[in-house]
Amino acid sequence: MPLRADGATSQSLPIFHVGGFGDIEAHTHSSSRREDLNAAELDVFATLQLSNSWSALADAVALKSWNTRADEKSVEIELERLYVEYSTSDAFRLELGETETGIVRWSAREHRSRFLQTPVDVPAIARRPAEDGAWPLRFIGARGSGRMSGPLGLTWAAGAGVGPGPVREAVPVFGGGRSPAALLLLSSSPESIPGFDTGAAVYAQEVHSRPDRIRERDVTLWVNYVSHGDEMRIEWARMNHSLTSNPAMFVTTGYYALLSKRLSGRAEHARPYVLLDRLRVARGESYLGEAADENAWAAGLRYDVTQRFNVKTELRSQRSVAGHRESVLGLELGTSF
Amino acid sequence: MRNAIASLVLILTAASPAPEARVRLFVIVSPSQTVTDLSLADLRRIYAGDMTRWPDGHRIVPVMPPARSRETALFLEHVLRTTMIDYAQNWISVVFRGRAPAPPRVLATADAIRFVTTHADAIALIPDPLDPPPGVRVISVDHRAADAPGYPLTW
Repeated sequence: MPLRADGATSQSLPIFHVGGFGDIEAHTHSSSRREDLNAAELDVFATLQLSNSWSALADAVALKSWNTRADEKSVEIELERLYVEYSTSDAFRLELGETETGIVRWSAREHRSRFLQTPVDVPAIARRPAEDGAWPLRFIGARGSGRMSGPLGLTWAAGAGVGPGPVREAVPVFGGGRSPAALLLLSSSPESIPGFDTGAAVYAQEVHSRPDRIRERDVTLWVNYVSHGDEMRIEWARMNHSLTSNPAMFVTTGYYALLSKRLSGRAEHARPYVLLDRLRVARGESYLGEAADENAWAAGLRYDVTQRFNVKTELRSQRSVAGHRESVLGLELGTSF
Repeated sequence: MRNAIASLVLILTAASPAPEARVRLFVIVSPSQTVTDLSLADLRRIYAGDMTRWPDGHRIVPVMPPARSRETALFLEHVLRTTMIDYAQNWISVVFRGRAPAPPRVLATADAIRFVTTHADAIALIPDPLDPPPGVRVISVDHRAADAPGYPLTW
């Protein structure tokens, strides 16, 4: 990604940049009852620096998936982010448009591309609604964020707008399905512990579904430590849904823990890892639709052939919907351009 | 006997590899830049893409030393605490998140100095220069000048 300085002597505005990620995944199951799933994903983003203060970003994903034993194929194209940004200091930046909620740290904001994340699969709590994920990862509105000076390295974010509507994959801006949402995030990266980051985020929304509106309250806690090639990421999330006409409460919880280490010397291109992935979806929760419990662990190896091309292989053990444990062997080729 | 011991010491001294020279990195900015000192934590944030603005609001343009140099390896290890692969991929993430444009990278120290002389918002790391390069200003780190004891970018 870094440019050659001798080719970057001009800083005249506007500056336009296009980049992206591509990956191909193949999965094969130990269970003969399950179809092997393959997928190819292309994520293209563009940034436009209009002035010292104003910029814009657009990001779209095309995903094609298919089963090897059935003639089922699907292609999805999704606009992930589209916003303009105003910023004059690190203490304050404002995004207006479609952007990330930030309720899950391991979300599109940090790890949208599978190229950047260490394991093959995204943890269950960080999956997008289109991938049967439960948490609202995107919203449309205004989102402010910034970093406060001081040894604690505090960062904040706050936003208001509209979140996913009655159909979780969509964020309606107009009409009856418009669902107001707000979020608040606080994190700390102390100067005394380089690479350490911890924080919490809360998200509130009223989903204007029918016949009952759903009141959603989410909270997430995380701890990350990335230093000298060591990587530890732990995140816990809870989602409460209550109906406006019914005292029943639906509670969905999940967490993941990732440990990885970049090897040294001649093996520095390799990064072995283990991942623990849990999700428990509230029973009787119809709004979450296809989201299913997850009880899995995975062990794998990421190998960075170059800074822009990697190969990952992973063995994942997970409990199937029917209740028995099955193994999935995954292979992914990823690139950045 | 004394001659034999002296000869042995001489042989061993000659056979042992010469210790690697100490490396000291200077932090240079444009003379028009008002910043005169950076904390090591802020320097880390700048080169990790977490700190993107000078106090006057202009975007910081961080320039790394040549990729395969010893200076870069030491800076990555001791300051950023990362590897070259992880550093490069972190910047891919920074650009993807819309936080900052990709930083320039130079092939030689002379290119870094030239870049800073022509870009008011640039910052670069250069190895101990024999003479202060013209057209740039050396700033202190953690309130220590580059020639002061305890200067943090010395290994």
